[in-house]
Amino acid sequence: MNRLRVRIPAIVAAGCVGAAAASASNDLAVVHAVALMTALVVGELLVLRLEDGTGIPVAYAPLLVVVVGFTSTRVAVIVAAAVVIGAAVGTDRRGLRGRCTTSAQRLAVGAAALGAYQGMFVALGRTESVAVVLGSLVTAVVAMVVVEEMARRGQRLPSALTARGVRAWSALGATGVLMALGYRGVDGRGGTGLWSVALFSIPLIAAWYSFERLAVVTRTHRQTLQALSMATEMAGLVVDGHGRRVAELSERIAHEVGLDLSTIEHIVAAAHLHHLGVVTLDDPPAPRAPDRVAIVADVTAAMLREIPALTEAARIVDGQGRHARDLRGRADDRLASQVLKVASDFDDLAGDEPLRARPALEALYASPGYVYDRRVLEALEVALG
Amino acid sequence: MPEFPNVMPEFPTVMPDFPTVMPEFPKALQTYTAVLAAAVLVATAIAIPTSPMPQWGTIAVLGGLIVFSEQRQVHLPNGAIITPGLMVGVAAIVVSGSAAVLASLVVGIAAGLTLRDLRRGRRGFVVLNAATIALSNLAAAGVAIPLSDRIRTSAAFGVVAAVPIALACASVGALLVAISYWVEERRPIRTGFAQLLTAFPQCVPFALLGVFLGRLYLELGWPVAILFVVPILLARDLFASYLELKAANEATVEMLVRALEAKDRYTAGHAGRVATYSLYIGEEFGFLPWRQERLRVAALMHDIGKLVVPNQLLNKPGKLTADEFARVRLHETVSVEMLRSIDFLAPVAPSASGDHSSYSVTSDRVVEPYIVAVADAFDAMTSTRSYRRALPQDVAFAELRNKAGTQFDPRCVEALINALERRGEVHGAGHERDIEPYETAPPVVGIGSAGLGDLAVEREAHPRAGEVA
Repeated sequence: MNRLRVRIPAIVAAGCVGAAAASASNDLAVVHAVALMTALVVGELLVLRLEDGTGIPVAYAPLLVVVVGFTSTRVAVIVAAAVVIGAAVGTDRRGLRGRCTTSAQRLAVGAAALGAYQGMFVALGRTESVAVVLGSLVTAVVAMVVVEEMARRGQRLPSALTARGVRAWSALGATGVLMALGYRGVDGRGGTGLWSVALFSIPLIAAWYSFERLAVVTRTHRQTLQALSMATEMAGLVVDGHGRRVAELSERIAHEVGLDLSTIEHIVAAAHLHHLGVVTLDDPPAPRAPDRVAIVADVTAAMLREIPALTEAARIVDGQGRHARDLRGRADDRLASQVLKVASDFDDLAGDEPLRARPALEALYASPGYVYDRRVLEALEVALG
Repeated sequence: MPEFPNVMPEFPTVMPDFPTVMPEFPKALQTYTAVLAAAVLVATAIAIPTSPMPQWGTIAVLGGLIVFSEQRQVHLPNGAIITPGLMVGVAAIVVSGSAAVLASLVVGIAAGLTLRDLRRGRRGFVVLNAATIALSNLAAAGVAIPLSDRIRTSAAFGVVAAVPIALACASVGALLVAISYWVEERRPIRTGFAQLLTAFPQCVPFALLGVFLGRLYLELGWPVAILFVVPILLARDLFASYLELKAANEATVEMLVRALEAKDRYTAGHAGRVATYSLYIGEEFGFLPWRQERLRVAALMHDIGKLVVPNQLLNKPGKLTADEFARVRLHETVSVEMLRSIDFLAPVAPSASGDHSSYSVTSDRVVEPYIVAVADAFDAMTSTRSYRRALPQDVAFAELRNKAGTQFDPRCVEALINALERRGEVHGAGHERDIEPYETAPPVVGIGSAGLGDLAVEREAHPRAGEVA
């Protein structure tokens, strides 16, 4: 956020100077174009962050205003200029290549919005009515979502349609449609021009702020859990890297067995913490002692149960200390415990030695049938590749 | 974006020093509530025959919206409340034009009557809030009606007009609430009013948005209202999950501190007290809230690495071997590494050497580690440990001052002493709160084996101790 404190006022100031210079030409459309371009550039810097750290730029809202307010050629000029400036002043840390990819993605989304809006407006008979304009704008939003999803897939990024992604798109879509309606007006009524962009950006900025706070605290929470798992490793109570490896592996297995995202999040938290209880034991069992897993899981679950936000993780850790046969409760909870148990037991055997992976897997398969759920073992095999 | 008039719905939480859960409706407020309710009824009775009727379909849409949004308030940690209620209220007034008197009353009553208080059985507050919101909306309508024609035709005029509309609404609301404070607990009306009106600047953007929402609604119809509220409700939702996750993280840290204190019973309450003293020092330095928050968490976690020290070593009677001592000292490295691996705390983590108990003038850019070091040493000296009893406070002060400039940052030492003296707090021998029962009472002075962070302080601070023991 710190980087933005300088850049955004600078961009806005540059935009004001540009608009003032443009007003000398006596062409109001040019002034509007400069103002909207400034909004697009600022919107490129404000990103609604999703769970995985990637984001959707706020610029997609004023993009709709540009799409309804100008002819196709002008839209192309405004959007292209904004994308180039946005890439130049942006905070993207992925270097030139990353910035080029992002710029291409923005242009594709812009083209999709323009095409969908105009196509739909023509298809609906170019009628000036709220329903027609609204319908065309909603079509444009849908096209933007589709193209953005395609672009993410092309870059092997996960889908943006997660819990936060759906909220981000709803906020951007609703605000963008409203800004565009207010800017353009319908049949000569309700057009308040740039006022509409300025005013309706207030709730959007509030939404951005909430997204940002949530992203920061999510990261802090994850890092706290990782720090804890690291502490037991630094003290030699747990094998180095065990927490991180188990978290990564159980996440992959959980995806493989088809658990939902919120359960996966609980499994990852549980994976980071599943050895924490070892610190409360007066006489911790040796790392390979036979009943160690059960004892540690038991005390850890007791610790985590105290925290309302970690009760799910506590349940998963509690089940991790048991055989598949002895698990009770909901099917998803049992499965989650098994995912953690398989990942942790596998890592106990294999560590970070790729050569030991195969024998470790075979050893798990060779255990008595009541210890592991076969489906989870098969998912482990797939996850290992 | 805390909003003003709708602070009132959650009436008791407006004042920070007020209990959040009110057992029942205070008797003193009954008459006042009745007067306000009567005023609303009289205003309605006068308005029905004299003023034009609003379009009831519009009022239903906007009233529904206000009810929906009032159900989704966010309570900020500072006691303020976020709802888009004021905005929708102003929109209803602008949409209704000359019929705004009835519209404002109806929407205000709808907002007040559907609050959560109803479900909590606090019906008195429901009536009080409904009447207060209705009357402050009425004030806004009083300002808006003469301006309504120009608001509809000129966007720039709408922007200007939002200020007096918000001011009317906010000041009437603040006045009514201030009077209720006076009725209930004789708090002077003037101070209550001034305190409440500080939220006025935050109302203006909402009023502004309300004016524009109203204008657009007039031209383009109800879809506008729905589109408008979506981002606001989403922002609210996300902000709520932010607060929730923040609380979860806090609970995690607190669980760790509890687990830590369970390992070593002589340090019960230590982390909490170090956090308190650190905040005292931070306050003396004029830290902003976010910086205080970071300081508090860093102070709570300052010894967190002790978690991984085996229990036998922590509580071992007698001297530690060199090997055991090294294992115990590992906790400092672990604590520092943990703080450094969390971005939010990394800037205040002590230097990598882990030596946060010595002060050097050259590296005082980040003062937090020195604050925590002073708070830690002060609490170590003024509480009973397995190896010695608590020292009196003046001895602790003298030791801190003695080592100021070499071991401790002198500014932090003076800040802590000032803060404690100003508060009139006394800690140390005879004033301990969390005393653990012990089987054999520790000596009055002495050095024990729990050679943890404070040991270095103890050894240097009390050279006599070793001799006596």
